[in-house]
Amino acid sequence: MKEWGFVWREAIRRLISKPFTIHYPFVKVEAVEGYRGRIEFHLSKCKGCGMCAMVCPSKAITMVKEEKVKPSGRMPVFELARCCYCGLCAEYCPAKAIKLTKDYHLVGFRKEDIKARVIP
Amino acid sequence: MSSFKLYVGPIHPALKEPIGFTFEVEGERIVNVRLNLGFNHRGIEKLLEEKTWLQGAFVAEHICGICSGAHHGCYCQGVEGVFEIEPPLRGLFIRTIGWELERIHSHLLWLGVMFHESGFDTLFMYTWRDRERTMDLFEELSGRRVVYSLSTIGGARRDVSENFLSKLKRQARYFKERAKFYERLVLNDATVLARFRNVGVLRREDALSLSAVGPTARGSGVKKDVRYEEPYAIYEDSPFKLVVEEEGDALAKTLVRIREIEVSAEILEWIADKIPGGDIRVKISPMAKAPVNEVISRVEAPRGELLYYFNSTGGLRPYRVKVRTPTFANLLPIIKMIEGQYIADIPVVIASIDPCIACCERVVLVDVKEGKRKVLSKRELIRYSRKWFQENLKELKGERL
Repeated sequence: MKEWGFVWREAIRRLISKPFTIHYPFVKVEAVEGYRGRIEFHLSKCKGCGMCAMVCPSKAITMVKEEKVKPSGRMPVFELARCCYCGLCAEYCPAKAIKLTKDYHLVGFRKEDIKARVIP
Repeated sequence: MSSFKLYVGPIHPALKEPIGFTFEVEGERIVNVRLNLGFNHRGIEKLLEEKTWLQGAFVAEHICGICSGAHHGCYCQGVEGVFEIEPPLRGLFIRTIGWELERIHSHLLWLGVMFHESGFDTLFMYTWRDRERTMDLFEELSGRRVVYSLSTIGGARRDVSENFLSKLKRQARYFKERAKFYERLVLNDATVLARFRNVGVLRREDALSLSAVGPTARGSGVKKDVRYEEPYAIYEDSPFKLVVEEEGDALAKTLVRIREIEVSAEILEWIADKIPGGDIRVKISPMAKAPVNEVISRVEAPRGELLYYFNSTGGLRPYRVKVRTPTFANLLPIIKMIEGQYIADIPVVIASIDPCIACCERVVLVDVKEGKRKVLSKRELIRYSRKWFQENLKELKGERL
């Protein structure tokens, strides 16, 4: 029985310590700084060069016509269902118009719930 | 006594992923086994040929969810060879943090699965709780918990802070402590010993002749580890120790993995102390064209040796990428391991190689003329070949008959 002391010690320690699991949907969990979550797109900074669409490995970005964006007159549209959250678009964007936010709640009942956040 | 055929899989409670086994049994003993592969086709190698060099790294990463860092790092290491660039030392150190942390995470996960298969669910909970700490570290290190995208062509993507390094050191000490606890427990516990000792023995000769890799080979006394044979990245200077067990049974494989957690934690502690300053990456254009080159890149993934072959004809995309995952090398030794075992030992023996079927199956037939892809099962292939011979036998007469 002598060699079982370490097991008993472990069992008693776990018995009196707090539970390790978190009741996730009821308790809010903050993601850490620098988390790669939902994409945030700043329309005013974009120059419409199309670099993001070019580097995207999962073809989640398509360029569409948008008169507001100068000089090229087109802007990226993000399809988050295809996105693999690698963050290459944000890394290679020359105008720093794309950011990956801490928001990891990518579920919803409407199509708008799983879209990138566009900031005009 | 005549033998009886028992079909296990492709969907079966003992198997997490689709693979089929036909066991020939006599009473409770297994006489022979036939592997049936091909239930899981993903076409990733073909996809890699259609992506640019940089994009390919993020496709390769998705081959496996557990050893994604090893795939990603191995791909980047190979492409660095194709482009003939040398990543800075700090970048390699950060990459190695990812590799070693992943080894701890994968081995803890495997231990949990192994204990779960043998009906010891308390330990399954213990190991998975410890694994959660590695996930938290990954989240802080790279920004994601599972597919981390830590490396890039030419180094690492994110720098580490002093704060993170001190945290890493603290956690590494914790993992070492836990590894000692598990080792002591495995060697003393009657449940574990009854299920693991002398189960699924792979003899040294078989491990060598069937070219087993990783902990499966090291559990049989084969000194096989890429970090030992051909130290890549920073492993030459690191306090890496080769872990080898002689017995070859499931217990030896378990002990190898537990001791490897300890070694990995030691390497992490060393990295936290010795990480140099400077740049983390050499920037190359995402649309860079590679020179004509042919490169093989090898990395020791948690499951064993991972191999990437690159063939570049000088362009935006690779001409051919071939991936050899460790599970593919470790599937054949199952045949030797399972001979003479009881039916009840099947889950433990299969789990003891740490199978990851999703990584290892990527076979596809491509019709070049029509540009169509076709995935054939074995039966379909036989039917196809018979039909083809019936139709084309006349033309072949001069050549074959």
